[in-house]
Amino acid sequence: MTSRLRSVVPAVGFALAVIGMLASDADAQRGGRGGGGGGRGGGGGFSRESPAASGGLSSGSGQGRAAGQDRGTQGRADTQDRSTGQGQSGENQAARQESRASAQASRQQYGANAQSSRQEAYDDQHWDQGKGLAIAATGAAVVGTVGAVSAASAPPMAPAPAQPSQFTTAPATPPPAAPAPPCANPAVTSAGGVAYSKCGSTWYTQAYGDNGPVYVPSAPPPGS
Amino acid sequence: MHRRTRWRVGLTACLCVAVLTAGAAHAQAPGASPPDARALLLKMATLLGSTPRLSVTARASYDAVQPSGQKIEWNEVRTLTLRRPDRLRMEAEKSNGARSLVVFDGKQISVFDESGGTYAQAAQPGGVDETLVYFVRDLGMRLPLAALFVSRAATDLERRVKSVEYVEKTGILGAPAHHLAGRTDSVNFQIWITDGDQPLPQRVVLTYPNAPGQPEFRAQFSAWNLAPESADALFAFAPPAGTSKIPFAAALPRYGAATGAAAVKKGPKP
Repeated sequence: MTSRLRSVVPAVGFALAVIGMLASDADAQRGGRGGGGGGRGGGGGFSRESPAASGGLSSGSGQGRAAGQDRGTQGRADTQDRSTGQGQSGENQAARQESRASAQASRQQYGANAQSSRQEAYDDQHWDQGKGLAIAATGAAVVGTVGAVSAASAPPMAPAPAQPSQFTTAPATPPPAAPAPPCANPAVTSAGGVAYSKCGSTWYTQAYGDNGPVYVPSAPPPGS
Repeated sequence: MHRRTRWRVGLTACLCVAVLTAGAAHAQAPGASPPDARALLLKMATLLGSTPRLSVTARASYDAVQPSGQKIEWNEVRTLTLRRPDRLRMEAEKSNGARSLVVFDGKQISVFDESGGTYAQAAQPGGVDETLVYFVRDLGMRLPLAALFVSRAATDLERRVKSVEYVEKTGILGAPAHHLAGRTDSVNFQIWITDGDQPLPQRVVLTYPNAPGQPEFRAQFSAWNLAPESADALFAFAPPAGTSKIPFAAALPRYGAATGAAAVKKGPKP
């Protein structure tokens, strides 16, 4: 009886260990595939996101991101400030002269800013680190997940009609299916030339990200 | 007999020492110091930055470290044609068959995704240099190794490369090349530059040491042509019938920060 118990215990332990290993492997695979943001994930749902994808001579890892977008926003704000300044011209001649002088100064300032902007592009030693996709990456992470969940139930996309290729070389691999919509049966509305897809209460628009077209969560279309 | 064996062992030892000494002397002696690595790098960058036209094919790959820690290598082929001051065309095919096209026609940037039947466009802010910076930095699009194709590549590298060393001269890639290894402030790189009067890169390996898993980007160049056919038609993009125009994701306002109308208005200019 005791000897039988001794032989059964190791067998059960071994079986549990094998089951544990299989389970952890499955978890690892799920973890690996769960990260498939970035719009069109790779085969099997593996993520294509990587700091190395940029092929840049600088890396944003561990550094501040979206600096370029910050600069862009700042540039727009500067322009708005200048417009506001121009709109506040005075009523008398002195004020008009002041306004003209102000406008001239503003133009000079604008020219200086434009030159400075170009110079900034030259001075920016991290321009190629692939940091401009903060918005796309955020949206894609959400939509990628939804798309992955719905991909199995979504109807297959109709193949595009044959037309002259834009490419000078023949493809080495058959093209993949078009990106799946963000859910199985989205309500699609077009406004201002942009297609909006509604899944539940969330609206999406398709946009071009670093890794190709992605669905990005968006505000509702105008007038909805 | 015993004495003869001892003599043979002694002779063999002497020969070994002589051979090793000669080998060491050979490694240091011919040509004395190795070529100036930085000069080689800048010579390559000067050539790339000053040539009015070029085309090249790059077979590239990069590592994507998955949440599980496993590295997946993604492959792609890119063919770049450049005509200064303001034209560029790049065809890309990923390993999953997805093909895309980037065109700078002098007035606007067009990006086309074949399988999705979608394209995005934005006004071109200037020549190839300004447009590459805008495309990569501000629109957040991928154009690996773009830094090698700006006209100021030599100045850029001079400032960004903190150190570079000469590794060896090799013919293992097909043509004699100088193998260099260097560092910028956040990337380690290796580059193989063709020996001779056309110092073009044959291969580049970039390592991102600060990123989890230290992923790498690799590119093997072929079919360099510094006088390619570059008619205007090559740099023209006409959206195929049935395709849809979509905005660049980086041009969209943050979700919740603005209305949908703003998203449309702030999209790329037609």
